[in-house]
Amino acid sequence: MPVLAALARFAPVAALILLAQLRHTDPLLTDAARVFRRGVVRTWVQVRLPLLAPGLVAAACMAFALSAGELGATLLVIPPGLETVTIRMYNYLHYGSSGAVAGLGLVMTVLMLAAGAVAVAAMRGWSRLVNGRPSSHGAGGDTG
Amino acid sequence: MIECNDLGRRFGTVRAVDAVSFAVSGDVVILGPSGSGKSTLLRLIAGLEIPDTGTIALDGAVVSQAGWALSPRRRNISCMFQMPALWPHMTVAENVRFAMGGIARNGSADRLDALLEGAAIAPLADRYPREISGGEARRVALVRALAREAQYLLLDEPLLNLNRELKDRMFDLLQEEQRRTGAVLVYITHDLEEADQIPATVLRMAGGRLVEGPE
Repeated sequence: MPVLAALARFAPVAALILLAQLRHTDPLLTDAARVFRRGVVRTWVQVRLPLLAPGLVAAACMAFALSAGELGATLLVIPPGLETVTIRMYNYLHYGSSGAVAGLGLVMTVLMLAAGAVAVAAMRGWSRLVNGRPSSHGAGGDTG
Repeated sequence: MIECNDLGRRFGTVRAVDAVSFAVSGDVVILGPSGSGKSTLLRLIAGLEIPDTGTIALDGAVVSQAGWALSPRRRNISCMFQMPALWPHMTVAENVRFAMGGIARNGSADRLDALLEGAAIAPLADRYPREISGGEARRVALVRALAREAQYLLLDEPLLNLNRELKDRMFDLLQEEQRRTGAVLVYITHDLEEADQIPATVLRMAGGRLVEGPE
């Protein structure tokens, strides 16, 4: 249930990131995929998914970071006997265990920074892959 | 045979293609200045745009009509766009190999080599699009279109910005491949000299309309 709650809360954020990636992708690349299509699965695996990959990675990282810190919805739906890191932190806070809270807080901070770094690396890696040399996708030529 | 009847496509208030009708059997060259609707017409024939009015028939079968278009995959076409549109995560060889599709797997490596050699891009086979120049990318895009061996070969300014020597070489490759596969050529250019080299029906467009050609 906590997973479903996080999905419901943060799927729109992930969808927005994916949408941004879609809008950022040159439509001619998908047109080319439509023309040279080699079966739905193969075209998705070899062309469309790699074109969407950075957006997928960034969306997954953001969804992870937001879900890891989520408390409100999780408290409402979590079954008895289970807890997330955030709920444990909340309980420690309640009982005044500030050392444990600080430790878990540090772990959460590192995890979220790592997720953010992976997301940024994915987007920057993609940008380098596409724009390594501006002329490679321009109408420039070998005019000698 | 390509038949267009009262074909129209507008973007907002702009009529990119306006009431274009023609029937051509065999190769066709579409001439016209920038913004005359040539590329939109090619995209309509490719099935990448859906017409607002009119129909397109290939070999007698209607493939597009107002509000509907058969997918490009099912039209037996190959296409080179005005921009190279090479997939950036694939090498030159992978881009071309993907387009080769179901062509006889035996000998496909030889065919790939022959095409790359013919376009003088064999040394670039393992490079990514970001690692080659704009002119090299155009040649890769043309080779990718040729590799498909489709019945209709749709080329949008394929030799744009290439020097004379490369133009001649690519033109020879194009003619050789066309002889070999029997593909029908739809060739878009604004270059009269280039158009004169191709023995084909010439259509002239201006302002989205056909101003010269078979009705």
